Amino acid sequence: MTASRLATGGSAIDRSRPLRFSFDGTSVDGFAGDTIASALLANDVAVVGRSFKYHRPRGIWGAGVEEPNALVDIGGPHARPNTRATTEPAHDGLGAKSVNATPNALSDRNAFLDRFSRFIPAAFYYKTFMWPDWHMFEPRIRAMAGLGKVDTDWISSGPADQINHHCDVLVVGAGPAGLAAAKLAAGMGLSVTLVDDQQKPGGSLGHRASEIDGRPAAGWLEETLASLAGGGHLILPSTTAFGIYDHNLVGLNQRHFDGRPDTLWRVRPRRIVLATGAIERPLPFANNDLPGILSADAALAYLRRHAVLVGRRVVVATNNDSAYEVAEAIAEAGAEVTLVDIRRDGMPAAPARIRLFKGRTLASAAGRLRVEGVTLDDGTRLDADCVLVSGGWTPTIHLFGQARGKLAWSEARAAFLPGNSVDGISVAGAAAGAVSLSDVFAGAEKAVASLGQTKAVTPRSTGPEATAGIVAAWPVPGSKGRIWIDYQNDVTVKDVELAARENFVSVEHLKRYTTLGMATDQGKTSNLPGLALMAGITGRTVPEVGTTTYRPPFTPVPLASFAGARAGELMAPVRRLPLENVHRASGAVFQEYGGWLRPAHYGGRNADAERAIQDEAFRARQSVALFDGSTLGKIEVIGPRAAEFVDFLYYNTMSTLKPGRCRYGFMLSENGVVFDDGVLVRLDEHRFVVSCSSSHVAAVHARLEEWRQDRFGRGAVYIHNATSEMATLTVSGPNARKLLETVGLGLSLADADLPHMAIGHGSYAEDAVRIARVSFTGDRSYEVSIRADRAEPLWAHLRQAGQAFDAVLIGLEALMILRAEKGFIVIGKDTDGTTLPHDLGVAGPRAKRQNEFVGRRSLFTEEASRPDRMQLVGLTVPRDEPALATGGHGIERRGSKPRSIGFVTSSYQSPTLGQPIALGLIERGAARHGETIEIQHLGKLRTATIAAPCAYDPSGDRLNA
Amino acid sequence: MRDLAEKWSVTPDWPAAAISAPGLAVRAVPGLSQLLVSGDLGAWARVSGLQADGVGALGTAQGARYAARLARDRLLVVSDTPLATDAGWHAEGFAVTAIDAGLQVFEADGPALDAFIARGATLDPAQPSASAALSFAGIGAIVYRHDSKLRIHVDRGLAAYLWTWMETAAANIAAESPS
Repeated sequence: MTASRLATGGSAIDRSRPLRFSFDGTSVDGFAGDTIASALLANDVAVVGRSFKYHRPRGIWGAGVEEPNALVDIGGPHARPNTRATTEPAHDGLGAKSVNATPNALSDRNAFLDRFSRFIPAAFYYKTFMWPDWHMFEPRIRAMAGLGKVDTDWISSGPADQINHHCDVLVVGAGPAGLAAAKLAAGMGLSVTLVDDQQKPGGSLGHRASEIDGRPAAGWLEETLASLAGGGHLILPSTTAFGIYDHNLVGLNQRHFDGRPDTLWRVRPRRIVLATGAIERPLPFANNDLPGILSADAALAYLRRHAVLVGRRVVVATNNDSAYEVAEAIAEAGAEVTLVDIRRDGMPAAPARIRLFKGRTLASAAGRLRVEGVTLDDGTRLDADCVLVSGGWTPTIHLFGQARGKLAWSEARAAFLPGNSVDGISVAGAAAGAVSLSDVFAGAEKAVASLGQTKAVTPRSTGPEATAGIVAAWPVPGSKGRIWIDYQNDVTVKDVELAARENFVSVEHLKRYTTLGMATDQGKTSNLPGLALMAGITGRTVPEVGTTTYRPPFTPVPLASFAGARAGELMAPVRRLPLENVHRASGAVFQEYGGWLRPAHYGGRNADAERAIQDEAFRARQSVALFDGSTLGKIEVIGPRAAEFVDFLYYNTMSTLKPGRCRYGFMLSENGVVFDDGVLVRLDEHRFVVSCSSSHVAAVHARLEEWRQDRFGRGAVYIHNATSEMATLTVSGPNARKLLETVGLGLSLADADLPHMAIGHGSYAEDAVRIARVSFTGDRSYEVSIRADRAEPLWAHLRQAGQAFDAVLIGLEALMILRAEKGFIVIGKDTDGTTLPHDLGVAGPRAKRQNEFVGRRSLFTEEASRPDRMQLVGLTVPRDEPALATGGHGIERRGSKPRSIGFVTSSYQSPTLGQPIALGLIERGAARHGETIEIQHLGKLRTATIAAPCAYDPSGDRLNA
Repeated sequence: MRDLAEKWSVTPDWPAAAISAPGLAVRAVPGLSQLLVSGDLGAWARVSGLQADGVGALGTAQGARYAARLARDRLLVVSDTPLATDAGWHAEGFAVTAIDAGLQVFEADGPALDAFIARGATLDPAQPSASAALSFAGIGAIVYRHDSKLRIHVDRGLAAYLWTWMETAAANIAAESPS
C-alpha cells in the first residue's frame, strides 16, 4: 500500500487547520476533520495493530464502527483504551498506541507466534493447559491476552453526564433514510431526535454519488440538518445507539472529544426508526488479513471525505455492483485499478481505464507487512499495493434483533433482513435491504407513515441509482491457505471446520468455541461469513444455521458512562445529622453507621481513638453524657385502629400501653426472626411513634406501610415517617436530670411526673419538645426531641450548662460500650438471621399471647423449639486479659474435632468495670451460666465463662439514680 | 480508624447556599410549613378549607398555600405561613403529621430547567403524573413546579447529597452550554 493525501478535495477536512499527533511514537500529520485512521492512511501507515492470538500485522479495514483491526490506546491524562481509530477524531498532540503489540505494531516481538499457528488452533487452550493445573498457566496467558491496556495514570475528568430524554420519534442513523424519516416526522409536528455515530451526519451521502431533488446530495443534507435544528429537534452526532431495552428504552453513548467523559442518554421515544445502514463484508481468500486490504466502501469514504488515496496499484475485488463506483473513483484519483468480479455477466459496464477480470475470484494475497499482490483463482498474478474488497452488505439489524425482532433470509441480498414487525420500531434504508436511493426514501416514508400526515415532501432521487447485483461469495470448506473470517479474534476457515468436526455446529457453540464474533467489534464483519461457512460445512442453509443472539451494547460503552455521577460522595450517600457541622466543630471523628454519618467519638484520632472512647464511656457513668440520637426512628402510626395495628406488628402486646408511656419491644419477620427492636411511644389513643433502630428506619417504614395496605386497608391506620422532623438529644447519667432542670424545658422532671418509660411535653425557646425517659445506657436518661432545624441552640445550651456537671460528649463507640455493659443488644450485631425472641430471653409473649402477630406461627416450629438453640449470654474473662475478639467462636470438642457452639457478638473493655465484657450467642447459653468454654479465634484458644448478659447494675438502680 | 468527615463534604449553610450555571439557579427555600395528611382527603379539604387534590410530579402549584399529591390518600400540604391543623388523628377521617423541618426544600429556576430535570428524573416533563413522589437524583423526593420554578422536597438527612448532586448536574449543564 502506498497511500497518500491528494492535493485537493476532502469534504470532511479543513486544510487550514493542520495538526500533528503521534502513533507508536512516530509523528503523524493531518488536518482538522481527520480521524486517526484517515490521518494514518494519509501518512501511509499500513500496520496499525497486531491480531489477538497470532500477532499478525493488521491494517485499517473500515471507516466506521465496524472496524475490527485499528484499535488504539489513547494516552494522556484522559486516556481511553481500545478506541477505534476509524471513529476517533485526530487532534493536535494526541498520543495513540497500537494494541496487542510490543513494542509497536510494526515490530512486535510476539510476531513469532504466527509461526506456531498450526499448533494453536481454535480452542487449543481448552485442551492444552489442563495439566497439572490451569492456574499455573493463567497469569501468563492473561498477560498476553486481551486488547488494549488500562492506564494506571488515568485521571477522571469528572463524572459522566447521564440524561433522560423523551421524544416522539428517535431516528437512529443520519444517512439518507434517517434524514428523510426525520424530516417527514418533523413535518408531522412531532418531536424528533436524530443520532448518528459519525462526527458528520450524512452516512453514504458523504461519499457515494447521489443527487436529491435535482441537486447534489450535499446541499440537501445541509438543508435538512439546518431545518431539523431550526425546528428545535435534537441532533446528536458522534452518538451511538448501543441498546434497546424493555419498553423500547434506547441507550445512547455520546462521545465528546474535549476531555469530557461520554454521556449516557436514556431515550424513551414513542417511535424508533432504525436507519442504521449496512456494513460491507470481506471476501474469503488466503491471507485476506494483510495490511492494505480494505473495505472498498471505506476506501471511497477516505477518498471523498479525507482526500486520501489508499494505493497506487489497486485491485478491487467484488461480488456486487457497489464496488464499481469505488473502482472508478480510485482510478479517477490517479490509481491504476484492476477490477476482479466473481460474476461472469450481469454486472455494470467496466469504467474506462480499468482492467476487468470477469468470473474470477481472488485465491490469495501475498506480502509480509503489507499486501504486495494477489493471485486469482486461475493463477493470474497481479501486483498491487492495495486490495479493496466488497463481499456484499450486511444490514445493521443489531438493534432490531435486540428488540426481539425476527430476521428473514434474503437470497436476493445474501443477508438477513428484518422479518417481522416490532411494536414501536420501524426499519428503513439499507438496514431494511434497500439499495437504491429511491427505495431508501420510499422506506423512510413508510417507516413514519403511521404517525400522521406530514407537511414535508418525501425527497426524490434524481441522480444515479445504486444496484445490488450480488452473487454470494461465502467461504468454502476445504479452501487452501489461511483464510480469515474474524480479523479481530484470528478465526480462520480451518477453525470453523475444526469446530464442526468437534460437533460445535450450533451457531452459539461455534461462537464460544472459536471466539468468532466476540470482543469489541462483536463480529460486525465476520458473523455472516462464519455462519455461512458453517452452513456449507454441515449441509444446511444459512437461515437453518441462524444467528447468535443480539445483545447490547452494539459498540463498547465506557463503564464510567454507565456509572455516571455515582462515585465518591454520590455513591451510596449517607444520611446527615442536623447537628453534623456542630459535631465537626467539636472535633468529632465520624464513621458510617447504618447509613448515617455519625460521631464515633470526639477527639483522640488514630492511636488515641481507643483512649478517647474509653474516656467518654467512663465519664458518662460518672456524671452526665450528651449524645446525638437524632437517627432514632420516629415513625408515626395514626388512626382508629392504630393500637390493633401495633399489636399485630409487635411481638409484645402494645395496645395496653397507656398514652404518655413507652414500651420496649421486638418486631419479628414472618419467619419469627427478630427484625428490629425499639421503643414504642403512645402519644394519644390513636397515635403511636415507632422509635426503631437508626439503621432500620427505611425498612421498618416499608414494613409498616406494607402491612397497613395488606391487612388493614383504608381508614384504619396511616403511617407517616417523621424521623427527620426532629433531632433527638440524649442526656444520660446520674446528673442528667439536674442538667436538664438547669436548662428549663417547662415541665416537671420529677420521677413521679416523668417516670422511666414515660414521655412529657415541654418547650424550649417557643419550640415544642418531647422528652422520653428511656435509656440505652442503663443510667437515668432523657431523650429530648425538638424540631431538627432548631436543635442547635438547645444543644449549645446543654453543653454550656453541662460544664458545671463535667458533662461529656459521647459518640457511638462509647454508647456501644455502655449498652453492652448492660447487656442491651443491637439487632444484626448481637443477633443473626436465625435469632428468635426467646433466644434473647424474651419468651413471655410467645407463651402467653393469644392473638395473631407477625411471625407468631414460626415461633412454634420444630426448629424454633430446639433445646440447643443459640441463646444470648454474657461472656467474662479474667480482669487482666484482653477483650475477646468479636466473631470468635465458642467451641466444644467431640473427639479431637472442635465444633462451633456459637460466637462472640460484641466485646469491649469496660472502663467502668475495669475488665473486658462480651456478649455472645451460645448453644443452650441461658442454662449454662457459670460454665467455662473455649473461644477460638484465628487459631488461638482462650477460655471464657458464660454469664448473664447484664454485667453492670443488674438491679437497674441507676435508671432512677 | 479513618475520619469519614474527610470523605463527605460539609453540609452547606442553607440560607447562603446557591448553585448557578448558565440558565439555572438553585437555592434552598426556608421557612415553609409542611404537613403530611393521609386518609379521607375530602374530609381534610372540608376541615382545612384547602384543595383535596394536590399537584402531581412536575405539575404546577400556585400561590402561598397548596398541596402536592403523594399517593391516592396522601398529601403534602405546603404553606409559607404556619398551618393551624393539629397533628394526630382527626375524627373526620384523616391523619396529620407536621414535617416542617423534616423535608428540606430546594427551588430551581431558569431556562435550563428541563435539562436539569432530564438529569434527575426519568419522567417526561411534558406529561405530569398523578403523584409528586418520585425518584429524583436516585433518591425519593417530592418534585413539582411552583409557578415557573421547580420545587424539590427531600428528606433532611439526604439534603446534602442532593445538593452535591445538583452541583454536579449544574456543572454538566454548564459544560453543554456554548461558551
